[in-house]
Amino acid sequence: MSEIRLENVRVRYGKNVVLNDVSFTVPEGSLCVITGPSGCGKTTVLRVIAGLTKPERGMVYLGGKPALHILPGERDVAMCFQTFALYPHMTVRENWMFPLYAEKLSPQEMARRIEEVTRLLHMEFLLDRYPGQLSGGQQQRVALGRALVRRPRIYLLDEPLGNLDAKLRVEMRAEIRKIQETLGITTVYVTHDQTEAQAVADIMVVMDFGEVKQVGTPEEVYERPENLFVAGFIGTPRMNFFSLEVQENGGRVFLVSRAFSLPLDAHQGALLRRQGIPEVILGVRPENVLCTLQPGSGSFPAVLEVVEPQSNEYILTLRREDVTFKARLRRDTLGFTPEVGQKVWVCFEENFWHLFDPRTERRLEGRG
Amino acid sequence: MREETKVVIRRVGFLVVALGITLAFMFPLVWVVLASLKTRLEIFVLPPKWVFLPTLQNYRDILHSDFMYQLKNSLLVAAISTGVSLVFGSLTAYGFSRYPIRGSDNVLFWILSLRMLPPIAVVIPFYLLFRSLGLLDTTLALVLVYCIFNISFSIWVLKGFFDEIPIELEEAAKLDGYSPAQVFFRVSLPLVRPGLATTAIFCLIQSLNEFLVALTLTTRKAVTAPVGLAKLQTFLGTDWGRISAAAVIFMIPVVVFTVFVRNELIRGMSFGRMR
Repeated sequence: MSEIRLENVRVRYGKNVVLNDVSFTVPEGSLCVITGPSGCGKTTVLRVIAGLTKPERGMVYLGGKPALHILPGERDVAMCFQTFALYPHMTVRENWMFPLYAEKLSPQEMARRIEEVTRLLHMEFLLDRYPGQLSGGQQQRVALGRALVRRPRIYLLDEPLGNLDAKLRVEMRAEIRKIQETLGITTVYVTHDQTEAQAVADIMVVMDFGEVKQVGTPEEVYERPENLFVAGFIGTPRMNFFSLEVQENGGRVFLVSRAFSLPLDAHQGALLRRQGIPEVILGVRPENVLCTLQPGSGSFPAVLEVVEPQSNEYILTLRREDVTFKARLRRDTLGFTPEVGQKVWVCFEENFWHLFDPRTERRLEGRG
Repeated sequence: MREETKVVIRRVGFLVVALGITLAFMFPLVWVVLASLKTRLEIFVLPPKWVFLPTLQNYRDILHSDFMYQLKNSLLVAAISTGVSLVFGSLTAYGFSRYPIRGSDNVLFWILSLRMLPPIAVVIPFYLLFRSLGLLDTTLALVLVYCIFNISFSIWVLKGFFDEIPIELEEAAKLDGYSPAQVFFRVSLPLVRPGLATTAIFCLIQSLNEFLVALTLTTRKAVTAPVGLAKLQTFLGTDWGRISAAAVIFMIPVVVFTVFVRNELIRGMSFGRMR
């Protein structure tokens, strides 16, 4: 139950800079998800918060107080390791009791906690097994349980559900969220699964190569990605990107490529003109690509290359000249049955254009 | 031929070969046990007698000789030096395995070099050393010398075992609020039990078998079993029956201990995985 604040944290292993200038704040009682491709430093952030890795530079504040000098054992932090780190010489029950012994809880309280976690994680018949006798998913639940039996100030969960099957994963993430909210324990949760991240997060931290690329609510990160990396990383299928030239024609600004030419509205056109940017990258999410059989305003023709039916939608791969891109469309509102080779008319939904400067890879302010 | 028959034949063949090898290795042992149960005359009969009326006379003689006292010395020296080696060995090995120590490679090599020392090269200096300390013919002197060899051995073997423990296990225990000492005793040490068993057996055997140093540093009071055994060969002739009986008795402690820790030993020898 305390705020976590990292300021300009830098970590180096030998010559490798693993974390570079990482800063973010997790408000008291909220759940922060760190996400990013593997090897981007997510786990290292947790280790820094836990005190297992000393940053070369920067500060860590826990509950508003500088924490760098505090030993890991005194930070009152419970961590669920990605590698599980179960004690192989102890049964499941003993693994869970271990942290409770250190807290010198009463036997009744211990029994109550163990029972609670057992029920939560469906481990009823496995309490007296050794970790070596459990499957990967079961071991992971033991690891998670060893964190959840405690009532610390901070939970650090490193891919706590990565080895579980889909059904259990959805169930467990709801349970974790429930416990966390009920107890109000500040939590940092590492996952590379975006759906999971979006589902549980109060705040998301998107990282790449040891740097924080964006901090924001799941909605912000999805709707207003600050840079090309975040735009491409968040969302499946990933956002379509088009390299376009900025051209003026008769007082209007157009984004032009060999494949198509898109008119910009006056406001954004003025913005680009003022900044004097010759080229932009346009990002459009597949769900904002609309397809019709009839031409409409601002639409251009394209050919259907691949049709992937999903539960209630289609993922379509479209091609126009040498540009391919994807569309995600609801089956019931599409109005026709797509077939490979078919010619359709495509337009990008206004208000959902993401413009990036190709030189800085940053978002160009404006609409969207 | 049917597939199952082939499998059976292969299995039986394998067993026969394994049995043959085992018998070849066991033969001296069997010979000693048989000799210990024979009379002086029967031992030298050619061809050897496999069926005979066993006698316990040799054992009776040995049980009433100095050998039992020497055996006690041996066991005492071996037990103490093994115990001390395990304590210091595990602590030192853990330190080298887990903490950054400047020049640790060199220090470790120096420790190992103690083990490489040929005993014959140091036995005279040891003799002089212990004479001036007034420790000649004492159990303590033997314990000290054996510790030199056993501790260095323990450190090397146990360091390998500690290195195998994933660091996250100890970090997890630390985060759970345990002190470094508690982490060592409650997490790390229990996990190297196979290593401890392996080390203990080797230290024990090494200390029990040691002959040269024991021969040089002892005269009467602290004589150990191997020295005593050798002294049963006298100028007046060698009583092979009694020597065999003594040898059999001498083997018992090691066999018992090995059986006792055999599960750990097998895991230790195969350098068990941790997860």
